[in-house]
Amino acid sequence: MTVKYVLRAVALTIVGLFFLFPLFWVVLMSFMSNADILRNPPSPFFNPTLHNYIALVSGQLHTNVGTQTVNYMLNLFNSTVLSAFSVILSLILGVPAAYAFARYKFRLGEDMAFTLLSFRFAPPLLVLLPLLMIFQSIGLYDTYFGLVWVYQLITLPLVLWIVRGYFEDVSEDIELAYRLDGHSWLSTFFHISIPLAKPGIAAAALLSFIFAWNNFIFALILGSSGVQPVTVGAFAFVTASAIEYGQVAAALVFSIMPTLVLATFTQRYLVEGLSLGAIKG
Amino acid sequence: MAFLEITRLSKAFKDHKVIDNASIAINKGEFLVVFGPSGCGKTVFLRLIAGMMTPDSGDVAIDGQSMADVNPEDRDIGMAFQNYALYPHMTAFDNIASPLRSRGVAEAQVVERAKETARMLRIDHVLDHLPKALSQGQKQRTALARSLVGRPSVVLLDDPLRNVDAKIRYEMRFELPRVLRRYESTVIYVTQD
Repeated sequence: MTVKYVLRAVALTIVGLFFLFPLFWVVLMSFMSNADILRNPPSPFFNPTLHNYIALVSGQLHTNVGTQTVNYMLNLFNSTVLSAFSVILSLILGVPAAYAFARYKFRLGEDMAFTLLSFRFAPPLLVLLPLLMIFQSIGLYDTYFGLVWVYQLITLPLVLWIVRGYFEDVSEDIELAYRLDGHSWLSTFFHISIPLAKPGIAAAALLSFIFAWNNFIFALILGSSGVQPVTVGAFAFVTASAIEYGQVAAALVFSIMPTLVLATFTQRYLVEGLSLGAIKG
Repeated sequence: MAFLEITRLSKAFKDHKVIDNASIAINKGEFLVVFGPSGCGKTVFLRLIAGMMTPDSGDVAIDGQSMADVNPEDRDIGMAFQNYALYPHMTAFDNIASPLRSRGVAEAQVVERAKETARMLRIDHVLDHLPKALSQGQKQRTALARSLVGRPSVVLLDDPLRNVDAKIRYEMRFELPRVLRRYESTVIYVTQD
């Protein structure tokens, strides 16, 4: 028993180290100067500095060849706006659609659901050039609205397919019982179906947020610096004279924070049981 | 004229006819037992009456009014499901109060009537519990209370004693008629036992 426990602890530690080491190293780098980072051989002992974070917050990037203005805080704001609104729009469109796909059989229903899923298969580059031309001609280029719309290619299929599975798991009898109590189908949807699929909706929202947050290529091509998110914004630290690894690391730490906080808060819903013992069996 | 009239009701799934030309007339306050083996279509029969399924042909009329175009929520029917179908995120009280709240009954009345029904079914001590914290017998009584509390004109009981243990089943066989008599509803009780 003890040997088994020790072995399990060792295995978990190794797996934990394997996955967390890059994160740990990035956090360490964010407190290092470029000289410390580029030291050979690398060392975990260094003089910690907050310069990288100060540069990000102040927007002044000091390099060997001069001072450059970076707008990373705007990028952070853009990422938050783009990801949040993409997820909200996907939930508004995707949750009722997922319910319809789960509960009703209609002509071409499965084909429609699969078409939406197939958006995830297509490489973004395939659609980017036509999209760029269309966006430029209808005035959506370099707008939050345009990017949120394109982000639906990422977030909507996720919401639809994850939440659909959860709706399918909600007992139809519970919904029917509520309707027989005298409630309309709309009331049943809001008071029974959605609360019972809440863990699935939370999981889908969180995953969609992370996928939208991590997207790079759409914002790179379809927007300029005014609407670009952190993933594109971190490019500013690759300057003509050097790659500012410290600032890139600090930017990464900043960009991880919102998803980390979100994941921590939604964890409760992710692990919550679905039917909570109401159904026999 | 009978209170609940079922006329030439038929329902088939693909080629399999589950209900074939069923006609029956039940007077107000009558207690009808539908008895048959598992899979013979008893639950489908109840669902057709409740409006959860659309019949291929035939009609269900309550108090002289055809239910063909009436939604389940407007049929004034209470139903206890075999699997209880309690709302897992609501307490036993909120489960029982649901039919009253949908009718816009004043909250004071809701509390009074829900508690009275719970007392009658001896579950008044677990009203603040979520379904997951209830025993099988308490779940079954909660489901029964919910189907009766709104005093619907028709009560459908889909083998409500099937999933409870022998002791509770024995007790409820005597208790159920007593409770149902008090509510004076027209009852269809489906069982395979």
